[in-house]
Amino acid sequence: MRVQSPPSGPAAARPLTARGIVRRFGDLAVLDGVDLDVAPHETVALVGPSGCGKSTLLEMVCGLQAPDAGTLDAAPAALMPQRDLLLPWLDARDNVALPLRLAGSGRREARAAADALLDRVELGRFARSRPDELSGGMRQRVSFLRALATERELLCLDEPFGALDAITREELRHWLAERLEERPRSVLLVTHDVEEAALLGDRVIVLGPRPAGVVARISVDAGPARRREATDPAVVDARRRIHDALRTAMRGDEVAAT
Amino acid sequence: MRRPLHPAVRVALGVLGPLLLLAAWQAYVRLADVDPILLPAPTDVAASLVDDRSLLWDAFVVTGQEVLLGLATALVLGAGLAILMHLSAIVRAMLGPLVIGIQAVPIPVLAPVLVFWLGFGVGPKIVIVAIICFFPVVINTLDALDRVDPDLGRLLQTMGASRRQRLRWVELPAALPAALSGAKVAVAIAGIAAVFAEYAGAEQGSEGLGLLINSARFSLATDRAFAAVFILAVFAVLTTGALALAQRLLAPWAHRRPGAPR
Repeated sequence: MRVQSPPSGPAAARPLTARGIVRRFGDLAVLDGVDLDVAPHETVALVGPSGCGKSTLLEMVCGLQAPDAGTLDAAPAALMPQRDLLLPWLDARDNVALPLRLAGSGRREARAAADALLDRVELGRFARSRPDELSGGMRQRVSFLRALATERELLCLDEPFGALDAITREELRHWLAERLEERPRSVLLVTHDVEEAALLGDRVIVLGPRPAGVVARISVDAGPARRREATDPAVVDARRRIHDALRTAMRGDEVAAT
Repeated sequence: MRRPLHPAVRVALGVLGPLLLLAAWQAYVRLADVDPILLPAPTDVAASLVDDRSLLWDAFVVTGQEVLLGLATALVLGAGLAILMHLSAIVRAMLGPLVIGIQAVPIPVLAPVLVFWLGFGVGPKIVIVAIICFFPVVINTLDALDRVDPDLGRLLQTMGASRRQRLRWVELPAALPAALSGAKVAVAIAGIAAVFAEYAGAEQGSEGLGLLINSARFSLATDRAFAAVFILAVFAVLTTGALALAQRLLAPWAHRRPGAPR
């Protein structure tokens, strides 16, 4: 049986509210009645087994797909994709400035805003470098700054550190947490990394296997993400609960809401 | 991993290769006592380049103009048609077979037909060169547009980009290196196209290397004909080099520097 606990808190002014989301691809049912909320300035991590529809849900939130049933009310979202997807023909500055140019800003104005963002995180000296001249970690940082440049309240991060080595991943997690503390946003983070979910999320939504529904909603009371470490008792506890939820979901057993 | 050659070494080898070929050719002609009307020695060709330089230069200016303007027209119109075919499935279905079909018609057959329609003079010859060089530009550009990473377009969609913006920021820059590659392929056939256009569109007072080669053959001045061919070959190498340089300047991202960080 899947848990469909009612969302907590007032529904008004939430950047994301999803109710009963269903998505099918032909005969293949991927999502089956998913309820999901993200409160203002909250980071919600979405975890689940491979192929359960996490990225599909993210694409629906970003407007790239529509659900087959259910209601989805989302503020305009900025996407940070799994691959950095920096445009190879633009340097770092112009990549960061791109959303502003698309929104109608002039070149000078957009570049000035991009320079300010890059300088603030000490990437200013790489502003004129092309993506092929940057390391993987730097490209991910530039990709994130591009998402931040939109000033959109809702950020959707699709396994943002999946392609990086463990040390760079940890470094970028701290970096991301600092950026979000500097300028709080509402974040929907899709990740297959349970530890990452516990380190960055205020809440973790666990999806079961296809056709996926929510099998657990787990609060992570571990203080600000910027100061969390993998060895913190609250993080270790959250990780254990997420693992347990995933294991039992794979076995198809009942899971109580926590 | 193989180390790339130093540019100076590359240039030196690029000169050494043809020099070795010329040396072998010279040796063969002299040792086998080959009739110069059939196969002139490199030294005879070099002599013609000097003796007939005024004639060769005047003819080259005409043919060079036909090739460069024809190539430029093919590049602009070919890339434009590729974009249209990429954006519209109907245009692609209607014009795709036509573009391929035109390419299959042999140049010696196509050139006289086009001269019949377009008339004599330099203008029609430029059009003939453009039509014949069109295909590699269209195919290369269309192929590059089709292979653009779809995730790039989807990402821009999430940023609210219109179709026109996705074309301007993603597809056109992505296709640029391929369009220039198509033009490089077309250089080889551009010279041949210009020569056949001149054969087909010859009239009193016409000039061009194609006509010069023809008249040299009839007057058994094979060394002059070879000199004209040599000029065409050198021109093709230089034009290809110029396009390669344009690619590096206009699309530097498509030429990854060895040793750049990942």
